[in-house]
Amino acid sequence: MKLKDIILFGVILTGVAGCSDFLDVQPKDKQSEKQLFATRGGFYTAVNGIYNKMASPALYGKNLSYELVDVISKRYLPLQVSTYLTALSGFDYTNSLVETELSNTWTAAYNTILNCNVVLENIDESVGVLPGQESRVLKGEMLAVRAFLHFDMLRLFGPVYKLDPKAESVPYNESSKVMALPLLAADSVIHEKVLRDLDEAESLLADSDPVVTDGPMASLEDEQDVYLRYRQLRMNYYAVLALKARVYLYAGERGKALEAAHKLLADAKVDEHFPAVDPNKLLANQSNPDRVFSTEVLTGIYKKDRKDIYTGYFDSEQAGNNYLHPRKDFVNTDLFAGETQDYRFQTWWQVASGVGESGHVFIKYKGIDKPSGNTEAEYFYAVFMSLIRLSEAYYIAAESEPVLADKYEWLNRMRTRRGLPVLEVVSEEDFMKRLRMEYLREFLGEGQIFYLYKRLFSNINDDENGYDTSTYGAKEERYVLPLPSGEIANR
Amino acid sequence: MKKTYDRKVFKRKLLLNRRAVTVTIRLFMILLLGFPLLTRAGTVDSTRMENREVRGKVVDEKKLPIPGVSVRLGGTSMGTATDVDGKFKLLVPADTATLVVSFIGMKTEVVKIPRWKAGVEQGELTIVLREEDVKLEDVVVTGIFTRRKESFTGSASTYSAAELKTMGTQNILQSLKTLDPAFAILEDNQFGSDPNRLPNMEIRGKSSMLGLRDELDADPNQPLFILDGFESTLAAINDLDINRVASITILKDAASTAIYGSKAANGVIVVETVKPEAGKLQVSYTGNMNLSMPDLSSYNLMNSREKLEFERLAGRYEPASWSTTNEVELNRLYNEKLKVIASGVDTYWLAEPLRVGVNQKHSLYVQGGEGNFLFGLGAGYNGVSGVMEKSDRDVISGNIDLIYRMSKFQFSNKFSLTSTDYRNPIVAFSEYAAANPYYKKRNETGTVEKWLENNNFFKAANPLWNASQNSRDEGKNLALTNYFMAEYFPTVEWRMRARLGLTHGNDDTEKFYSRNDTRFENMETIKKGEYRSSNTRTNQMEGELSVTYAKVLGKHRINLVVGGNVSSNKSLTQGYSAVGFPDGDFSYPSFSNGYPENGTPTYYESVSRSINGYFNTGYSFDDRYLMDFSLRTSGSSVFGTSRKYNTTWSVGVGWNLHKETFIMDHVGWIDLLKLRASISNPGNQSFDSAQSLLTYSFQYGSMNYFGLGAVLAQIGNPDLEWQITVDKNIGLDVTLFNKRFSLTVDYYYKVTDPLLIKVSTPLSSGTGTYMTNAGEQVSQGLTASVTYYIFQNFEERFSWMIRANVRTQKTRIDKIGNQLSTLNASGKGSNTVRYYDGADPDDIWAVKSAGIDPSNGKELFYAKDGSYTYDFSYDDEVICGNTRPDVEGVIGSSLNWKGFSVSLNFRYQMGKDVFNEALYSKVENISRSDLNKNQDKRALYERWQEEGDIVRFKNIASAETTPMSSRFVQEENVLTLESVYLGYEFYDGWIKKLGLSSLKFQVSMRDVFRASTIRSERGISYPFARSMEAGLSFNF
Repeated sequence: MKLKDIILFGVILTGVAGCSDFLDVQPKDKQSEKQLFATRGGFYTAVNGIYNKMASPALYGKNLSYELVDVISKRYLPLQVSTYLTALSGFDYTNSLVETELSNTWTAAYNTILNCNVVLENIDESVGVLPGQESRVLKGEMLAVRAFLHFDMLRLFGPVYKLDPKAESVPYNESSKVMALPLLAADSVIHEKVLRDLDEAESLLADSDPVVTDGPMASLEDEQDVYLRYRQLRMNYYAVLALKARVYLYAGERGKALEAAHKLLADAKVDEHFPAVDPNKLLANQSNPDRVFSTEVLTGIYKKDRKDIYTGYFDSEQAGNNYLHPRKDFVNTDLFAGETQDYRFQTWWQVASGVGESGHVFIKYKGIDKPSGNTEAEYFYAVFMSLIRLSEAYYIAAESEPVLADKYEWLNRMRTRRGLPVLEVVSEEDFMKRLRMEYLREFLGEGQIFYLYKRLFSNINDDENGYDTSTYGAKEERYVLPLPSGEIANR
Repeated sequence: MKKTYDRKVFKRKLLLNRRAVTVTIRLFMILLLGFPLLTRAGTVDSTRMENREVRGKVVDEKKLPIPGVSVRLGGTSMGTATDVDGKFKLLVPADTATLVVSFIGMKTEVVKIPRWKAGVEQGELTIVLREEDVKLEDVVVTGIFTRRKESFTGSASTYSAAELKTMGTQNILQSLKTLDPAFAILEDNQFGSDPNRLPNMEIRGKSSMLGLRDELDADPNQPLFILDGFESTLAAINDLDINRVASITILKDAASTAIYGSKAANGVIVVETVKPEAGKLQVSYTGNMNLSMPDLSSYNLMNSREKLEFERLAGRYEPASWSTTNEVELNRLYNEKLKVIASGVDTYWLAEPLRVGVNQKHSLYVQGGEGNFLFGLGAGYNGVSGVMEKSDRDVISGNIDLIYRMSKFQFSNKFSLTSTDYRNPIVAFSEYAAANPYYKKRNETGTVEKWLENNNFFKAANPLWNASQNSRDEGKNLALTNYFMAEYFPTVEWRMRARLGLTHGNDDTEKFYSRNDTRFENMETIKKGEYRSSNTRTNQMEGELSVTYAKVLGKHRINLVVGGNVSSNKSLTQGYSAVGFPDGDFSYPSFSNGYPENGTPTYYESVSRSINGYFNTGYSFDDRYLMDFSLRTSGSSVFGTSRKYNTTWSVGVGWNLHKETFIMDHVGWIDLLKLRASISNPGNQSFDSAQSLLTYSFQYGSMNYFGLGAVLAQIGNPDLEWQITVDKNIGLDVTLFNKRFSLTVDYYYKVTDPLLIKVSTPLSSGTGTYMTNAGEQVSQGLTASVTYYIFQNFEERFSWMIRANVRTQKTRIDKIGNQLSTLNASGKGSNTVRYYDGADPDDIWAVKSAGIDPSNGKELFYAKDGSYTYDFSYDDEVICGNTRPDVEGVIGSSLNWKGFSVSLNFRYQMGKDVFNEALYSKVENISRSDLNKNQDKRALYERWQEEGDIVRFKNIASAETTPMSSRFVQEENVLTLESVYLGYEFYDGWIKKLGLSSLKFQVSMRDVFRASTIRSERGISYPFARSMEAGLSFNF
């Protein structure tokens, strides 16, 4: 009997030990991590999900492009009926609607980062699912997206770097596990984290990203594998270079910023792959002009309903309470003073036509007709929004050059591309004024202008102010947004 | 019935022979030998001259000799035991007239010694011992093993079918609630007596509660149900025919539940169904007729005159934006209503959807078989009509029980089938309660109109309209179970058992809303009408192998159980919707216009598997010192990849003081005095199996050049640990005065650390909430039951007993910090539950109110520092009460005389605080649009109207939102007459002539009345009910 007992015990023990697989249940109705990353397509699906999240309204599909971050840089004069937009415009970050929206942005950014971390972990773990080159591309992209998002959270919620680079800023999340993370000093986020990720991304993408040899490939022929095409919708090699320049400049390291910008601008392939917008196709074209100058965009997002941005926010007749427009006469007398030949004035602005309306309406995102009978490729720019455009590299180079003449040189190259005359070398002061005006003209609706003011810690001058004709002084309470309570309270 | 009678006889026997070994169940009677008695038997005094020798033989009913039987001289402890041939020899003093013959598992016999006749050779006495009936109250059935209660150290109670039936025959769980203080069914204020709602229940309070409420379909505090040894579901137990039940055991403390390991933290309810008995064909029938009547006593709604006056005072007929036309029009509407009221319209809408539910219940069991083969066939029908129209539940069940016995083997199989059809009302009761009494149900021609009123100012839907359409909400459920068991008895000590249980369930629900339903009022014509279908299939498999060893060695009694089991549960839910239906009786999906826009079909699968090994030992020394030890290792798919296995253990000790000589010899009136204590660490596994995984979901509708995208949907925690509770229990069992008085007291102290909770994390972690192990919860409580027989006369078959039980408990959470701050913040304004360190999770958190300022009708609050303020702030929230009663219990009495029995049971509940929803939302917080609904009378009579009014409620003309303050928290004390029972049983006489072996009539009522110190509406969507039942059962 004893023997039997021992045998039974043995059976149970082996059963217990050998049944790890039996207990390993993967839900069929949900995609588990394991299932998703078992295939190449699964990786691209997860990566696509991340880029889709970046295009969500909480991130670059609204808040971090044309709405929230542009409103706080005084680009528009919102209607009084919109308490949210009015509060934003008055830098009232404690307004509950504003708090909610800021919290949404923060949450979405870090959730996207967590998604990146999970993909990164799986790239490292699942050897053999992706071809070597593709795993380098995806890893590079994911590191770059992670750095990009953290950097923007730092720019939005972090300290004025110029004043106090050691100040507490944001956490840097590089784990696929959920954990409470410390708030790091701004300079360590930039140097130890963001730039580290970008350097790694650069080295991974330099020899793997097909954009280097084949360009953006913003089209799809039958039978082609889509995953490595449309490079402008991905954080590609050139975008990483530009992003590095952006980061260095923000950190005030002009030498390194210049180096990074040069690397991009000196590359003959860049001009080949990202040609300047063609005025012939732009100015005379009313039905489907490429208003976002898509050929110049290094990386951007896919926004299927981009035309709704126009109708929902900028169309004086349809936008309702959300209507966003600069104060009357700002666009023609201040923004494009004496330079209305600028392609950007010509194609992005339109005199308001509604009853009782005056001033200009911003039509950068206005819907365009699908070219009849043309291939899909040309329609790409109807659903595309910029995150980083080549012109910024020119401006960064201009700002970073130590010699004044060189500064004007980079600026003029860009001005030429916008149909503007070359500027004479005048003074550092004049250069900066000109450069700032370039930012205001170029990046409206793309969310970069606020960061310019915060980086320089400069006033929003009366002639730069799209809200009213006052000058708004640079103040930390205006430029440093409070961290969401959900970040602070749960520590 | 038969069993009740037997128990009384047994009790009488015990009076005669207190030292007789108490009975054990059949399984053990073959395993346990009467050695302790043997050793105590002592030697016969042979020095006395008058002694004579008595010889005899003890046999069982089959004339087989029984060895080891104790044979004692009546009135002494002297005696002997039978040898292997069942024979004994004993020197008997001349003054001894009787022999007491006893053996474990057999009825004790008192035998008269035949008178001495000189010279006559004394013949051999033949004594026949009969098998003792199993006495349920004397054993503990854990579903895995069965133990004598006297030697068990855990806290458990067993109830027989007869006891359950005296508390009502409709539902076994409801009856159990009245019987056991540790078992609570939480009153469902929302769904009242809805027959299609499963009750929420708990044993000894909640073991986990935090942040999980919105997450789970499974109640994490629900006990584990074991049906004939296999894991079962609440639904199956709830629908189980009470006539199929042999016994129910509640395992309360962890020492008794540890054998179920990780699933048992909430206690275990073990249900054993009847087994066929040998003998000639026997047929039992029970029929019940049940009436359930709606209980509307908690409703306090205005009549038509009151309601209109309230509307006027609240300013309903003053235009919001003043204009002459508005004012004239509103005046006209007011006067019109006044006219209607004057004509006598005062509709009592509450009565409209209600009825008296007439229910029938039949159950039939046929059993028989001889020798090796026994069978039982059962069939039952239970038709429940709820107190609302179109609310039914029909349960048809059938079962086949088979037992086949061989010399060392026994095989048994139980198959059962339950088919349930159910139907729910389309319109919730609350909609009738909201209808204003000054509207007529029907227009002059007697037809139901869609709108009671519909003009520029007011719009009120007629609840009867939606109810009269061809909308439906119904479903069907089929459950099949087959339990197979094979047992092998190689020797008396050893027993091996293999079990296999298979359960299959299929549930179909169908909902159809007619296109005319008011919910589609503003919808496109082609989308009006909706059909929803959902199907859930469940498959459960459980296999178990166990070995049992039981032996008595001198004063040592040893029980061992070793076993393992494997189980797998799978459930799959699929569903879809269709919209756009034509008018008329075209309510099936083929008539629809298509699927709803962006409506994806539902598909939800849940798989959980577990594999367990367990070991249990019970040891007792001389029946005085008791020890139990259990160990179980459970592996479960529930937890994270790194934590699949978990071990639970329990240790229990007990001391039978009544077996100590200092009590046995000196205190005759103590029958039982047992102290027991246990400690263990049960787990809790009732959590979603995917909590430990990272899962992705597709972003439908976001197709781009690259196809679909997927993002993290659930951020699971791979390091999730089992929630571990350390459960300590101290208990005392006392029986005194020839078993007339008995008392059981249990005190428990449970510490759950860490809890499995959904905590708030900094958003930068990528998510705002996360399942993790954190915090601590301490619950402690006391339960006690006492019974006392005021009269007990077995000869006359007369007894009168009173019983009472009580429970009280307290809970505290700790080590949470601010990890639940998000949850706390989200509750502000919507509930009164907050989680803070040191507080009871059942506390009511609200701002303390100083009442209504008589000068302006505004509410005055206390700030945290005690100062008065008009400004409400959630920062001033303090504890304003606790929703758990201080004490709760049942007091009852039963009287038996001949075949007649009566019992009454009252439930009392004291010191419970409630946030009175009726005051909060029907007296105050009546917004402009809520004026469209009927409200509580107190909104008219007890609200502030003019300066100087000293009242509890705010300005009647104010439609502004009132925050949750202590003003709505009230202490509630309740007394309920929970059950009334009246029965009469015929034993013999004329019924024999009819060929019946027994016949019984019974009448019972449940929830006869309820008296509460506060007035708050109960049964919001479905009213509560009182039920009355008459039954008849017979055997032949």
